[in-house]
Amino acid sequence: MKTEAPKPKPARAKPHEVALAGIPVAPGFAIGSVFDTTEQPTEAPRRQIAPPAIEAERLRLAASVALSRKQVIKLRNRIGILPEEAQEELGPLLDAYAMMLGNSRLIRGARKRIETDLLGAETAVADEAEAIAAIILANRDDDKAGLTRRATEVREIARRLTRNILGKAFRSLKDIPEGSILIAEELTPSDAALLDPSRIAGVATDEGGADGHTAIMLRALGIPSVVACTGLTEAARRGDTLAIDGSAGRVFIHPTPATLAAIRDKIAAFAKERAKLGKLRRLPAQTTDGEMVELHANLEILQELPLIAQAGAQGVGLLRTEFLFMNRDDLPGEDDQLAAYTQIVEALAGDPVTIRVLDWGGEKNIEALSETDAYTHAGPNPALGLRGLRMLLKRPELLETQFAAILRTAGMAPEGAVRVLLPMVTIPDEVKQTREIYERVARRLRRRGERLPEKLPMLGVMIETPGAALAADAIALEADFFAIGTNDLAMYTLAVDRAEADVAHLYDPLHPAVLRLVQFATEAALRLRIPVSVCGEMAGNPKLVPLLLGLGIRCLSMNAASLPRVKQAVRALDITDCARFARRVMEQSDPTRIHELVEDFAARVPERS
Amino acid sequence: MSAEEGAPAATPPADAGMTLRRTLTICNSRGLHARAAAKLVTLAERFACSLTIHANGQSVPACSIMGLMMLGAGKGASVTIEAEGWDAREAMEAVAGLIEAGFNED
Repeated sequence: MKTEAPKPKPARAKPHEVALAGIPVAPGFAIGSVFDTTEQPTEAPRRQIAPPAIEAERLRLAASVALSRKQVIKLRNRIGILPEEAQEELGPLLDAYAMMLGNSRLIRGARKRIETDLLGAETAVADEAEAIAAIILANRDDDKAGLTRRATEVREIARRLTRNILGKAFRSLKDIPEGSILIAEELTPSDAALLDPSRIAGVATDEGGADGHTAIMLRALGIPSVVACTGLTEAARRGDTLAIDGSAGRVFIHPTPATLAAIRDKIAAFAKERAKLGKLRRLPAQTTDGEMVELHANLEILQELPLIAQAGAQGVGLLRTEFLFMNRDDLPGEDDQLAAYTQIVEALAGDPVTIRVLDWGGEKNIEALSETDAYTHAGPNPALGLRGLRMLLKRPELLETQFAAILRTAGMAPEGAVRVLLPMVTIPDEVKQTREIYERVARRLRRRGERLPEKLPMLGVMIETPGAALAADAIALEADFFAIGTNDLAMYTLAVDRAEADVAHLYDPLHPAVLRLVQFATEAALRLRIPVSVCGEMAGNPKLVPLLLGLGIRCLSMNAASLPRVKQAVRALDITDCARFARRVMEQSDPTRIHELVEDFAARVPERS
Repeated sequence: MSAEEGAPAATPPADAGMTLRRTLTICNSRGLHARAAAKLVTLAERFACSLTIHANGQSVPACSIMGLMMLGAGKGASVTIEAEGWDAREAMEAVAGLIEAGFNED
């Protein structure tokens, strides 16, 4: 059990290689030194109290319950940005934990034990948890393992309470030296949700299974991992060299030179692609004639965060916030949202994060909204209906909550680290109305004593409809910046839904109509000297970079995976060439001819990295 | 939480409206463990009627997370749901649906 004090291990002579087999749960290979994370034991001597101390113990219990709930809810928010698979696994479990920390039998029972048995809070919690576990285990059921698991879940929550009552540290995963291999008897799902994949080379545990909560988390985080390695923590000590084959489920303690060489080869093969990106990461996105281009990444889930740094992105150009609203029955509150945004903004360490407020239009994926009268009926044509900012202006309380969370996030971040982006704007007045709400929320927060930046974060607009693009000069008077969303812009301009197989071939972002709209919106922004970026698939296509730069765009936001290749393209270009090329393209009215020009230009650009 | 956890189900007063009972088999492999129990609680809390789950000779309110876990109902266990109140029928349908769907797990 992880709660036991670590046993002293006998000194060993010359270390031999020890090979252990376990269950592979996350592919990949790793060599590193062992970092073990035995938790400080939570066992405390039984403590009786005198009647006058009852009130104090009740307060200790209540404080611990409140703190534990907060921790669980924080974790719940954190997983909101993990891949869907991990969310489905952990979400309901954390809901269960939160319920157990509500007015449950565990909490009421513990309180009663303080009062009637005159026990210290930690003793009362332990006794009550054991009593409940005993009832669970006493059930006649064929699935003994299932009963044990349930008892473990109750004990897990009791341990959290005890830890908080005693003020004992949780398993610390913060000070792990970079590149370590984490070993433990067992990791809880709550532990796994806190692992930082950029620091930990691999994970190996004594216990666990391929389909446990923890295994799913490890896979989602992409950390090479092996579980159910019996005897591992007994055999390995902190600082030992360990090699992990997360694909075959093998762990080698004190690997021989031959084993090391084999694993190194595999690591090399696995990391070849990443190394290529790594080299590029340190180079600036600068054209041959010295023009700097900002390359940002789009972000949808937290798992992509490490990838963003790895790809060398200079910020998050489009943070979609729909994920916060999915997979839950209620709406995320201000604090829930604050926690999620803060985490991302902190991870970007001052690089700008552009947060787009909820862009939703009646899809079934957000239950809390689709079930209310906010969206009584999805019309026959949701793409042209109440979506994006239109919906938010109809339900301003949604917008206010989101603004409040964003503003508070900005208050804790360096200036300029946060920007706000409004989806589906077609008329300038929508921006004006929104800004009034934005400023009202800011005033209210200041009255409440919240720390806000002196200058509110920039409020920008998505240019994603022909209407917005053609009215860009008017909208630019109200907006602080533009983000041109080329996917939707092409869809609305060409009246083509790419999901419709019969018309998908008509979808073409290089159609002159789309390009002219991009040009018009870009020029409107440049005239008023507001920043303008392009996000969408066009921005991630290296062949289209010369055209976009030639049109005056200096900021592109794309999937992190596309970023290195786009950077490579930028570094091979000359801005004057791009401008001349863009002029030629814009003279064309035939999409086929435009495609030819783009291909020709791409073929002529020399390689440079 | 509306009812005392772990307490035996009270006998319904005669004028409380209809009482529905249905017996179902737990079919997901992990049984009524924490995650499944949490889903059941969340669902039960949406209804006004009182929902009681009987299994292994015990009865607990459907909105008691600890109570549900203490039932120790694993895969193949037989549970009886009792719903009493004006929306008992809808509640019964919903709860039975969740159990029959294996708590959407497997």
